[in-house]
Formats: sequence, C-alpha cells, structure tokens
Amino acid sequence: MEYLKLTLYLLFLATIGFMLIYNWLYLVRIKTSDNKIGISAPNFIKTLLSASITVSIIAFFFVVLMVVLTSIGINSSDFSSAIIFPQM
Amino acid sequence: MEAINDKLKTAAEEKFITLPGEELILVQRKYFVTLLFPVFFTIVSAVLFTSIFFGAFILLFYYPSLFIAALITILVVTLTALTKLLIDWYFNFYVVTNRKILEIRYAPLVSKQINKVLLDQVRCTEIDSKTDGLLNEMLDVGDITMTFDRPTHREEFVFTSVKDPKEVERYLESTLVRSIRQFDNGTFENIDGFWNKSRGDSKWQYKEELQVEPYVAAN
Repeated sequence: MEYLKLTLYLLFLATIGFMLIYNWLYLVRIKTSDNKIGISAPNFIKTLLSASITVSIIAFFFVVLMVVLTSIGINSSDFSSAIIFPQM
Repeated sequence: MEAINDKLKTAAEEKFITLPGEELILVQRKYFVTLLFPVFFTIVSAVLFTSIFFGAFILLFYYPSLFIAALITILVVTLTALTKLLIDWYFNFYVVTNRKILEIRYAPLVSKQINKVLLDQVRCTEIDSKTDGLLNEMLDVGDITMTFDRPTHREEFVFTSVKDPKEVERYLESTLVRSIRQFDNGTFENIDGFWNKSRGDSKWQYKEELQVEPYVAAN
C-alpha cells in the first residue's frame, strides 16, 4: 500500500512540476508578446500567472515533503489528520 | 474592460496600420461572456475530481495527506487552465481597416496565427450576421460572416462571438463597403501603387505605376 501511495504522490508531483514549468514558460512568452503580435499582455494576466507559479512552488514543496516522509516510513496521515481533519 | 479595449485600439493603430492611406475601422475581441461556459466547465470538472478524490482518499481509504496533495494538484491545474483560457481570449481579436481585415490568434507556446484579407485583392459580396441559441439571443452575441470573391474561389471570413452583431454588421456595411468603392474608383489620396502576389509566390509585393513622360525626338 505504501508503494501505491508513493506512486500517487510522484504522479501529483510530476503534474505540479509540469504546471510550474508550463506557467513559467508562459510568463516568459507573455512578456515578449509585444514583439510577437504587437499587443502586450496587461498586468492582471502577469499577476495571475505569477500567482499560479507561487501556488505551484508551494504545492511542489508540500508534495516533496510528503514523498520524503512516506519514503522514510513516517505515516504523514497522522499529522495531516491532526491538522486538517481533527474531528475525523 | 473599456481600458483593455482602448489599449487594443491604440496597439492596433500602431502595429497593424501599415499600408498607405490605411485607416482603422474596427477592432473587436470576442465578447467576454463567451468565456463563462469554459470557465464554468473547468470549475465543475475541478469540483468533480475533488469529490472523486475525497471519496477515494477519505471515505474509502483514510489517507488525508494524499487527499491534500490531490487537492492542491487540482488547484494548480485549475488555476493554470483558467489563466490559459483568459490569455487565449485576450490574444484573439479582429482588426478591420479600409485596406485589409485581420484575425490575430495567439496562444503562447502553442500557436500564432494571423489571417489577413487584403481588400484591394478581393471583392466583398456579402456581410451576414447570425445569432444562434437562447443564451446568445439573450446576450445579443453572434457571428458575422463576410464573403469574398477571389479569382480562384470564394472565401469566408467569420467574426465569431461578437457583441451586437447586427450593429457591427451595419457599421461594416456602411463603412467598409464605402471604403472599398472609394478604393475601386481610385478616389483615395496618396495611393499610387497596389499590393500584388503572383501565383506560387509566397510574398506580397508593393507595386507602383510610374508616370513616364512621352519621348519626343528632337529635330
């Protein structure tokens, strides 16, 4: 069961990593849109992309922590359930 | 929204007015309400996946940390999808001048497409507007189709999901058709040449007719 959990964590990690790189490349591309088609992106789009990147980075490190804890044998469900779902 | 349209108009005037005697007639982006359906679909998908993961990782097997990881993955994917929808909408617009019609469609990292119809190379035969569906009827959103006769075939240029299609159609009819007629009659000022593309040639060339004085032999 631990292997299944680890596989799922890695799957989530890969997805978040992909989104992080995608958003970062998107932001770089958007900044050069003025040269590409003559219209520059407005600031709210750049802010939204920066927010996506920030959330992706936080999510990435969170899942990395979960992977590390799972791989060294600490049951991460214990502290997660205590913090997030104390009533369950 | 007004500020965004003003910015688009200014940019269009600066970047897309390239031909002699060219004037901007219309700059139009798809109506922003057309974004609502894909945004709604994305959010519903996110809720659906969250429910599935909640059922699997909380109710079926009790793995709260796995559920949290799934939840933040869904959040990141949803945020990225919504941003992409917004960017694709922002970088898709139509520019109509008295010399050409353009559709600019730019999806960063995926594609860049600029469709251009040079009006002095074609004859505009029809401008039609169409509104389909209850929601579009209520919001007054529709498509405008312009049909051009080219030497080899007929071609259609469609402005999709435009606000007030009847109004835009009327405006195009009155402004654009008059401009084309003026051009056909040669009543434009400062235009001595024309754009031409030979068959099999990929580039447009600007050509001018030279006024040559007749040669008179001196006796």
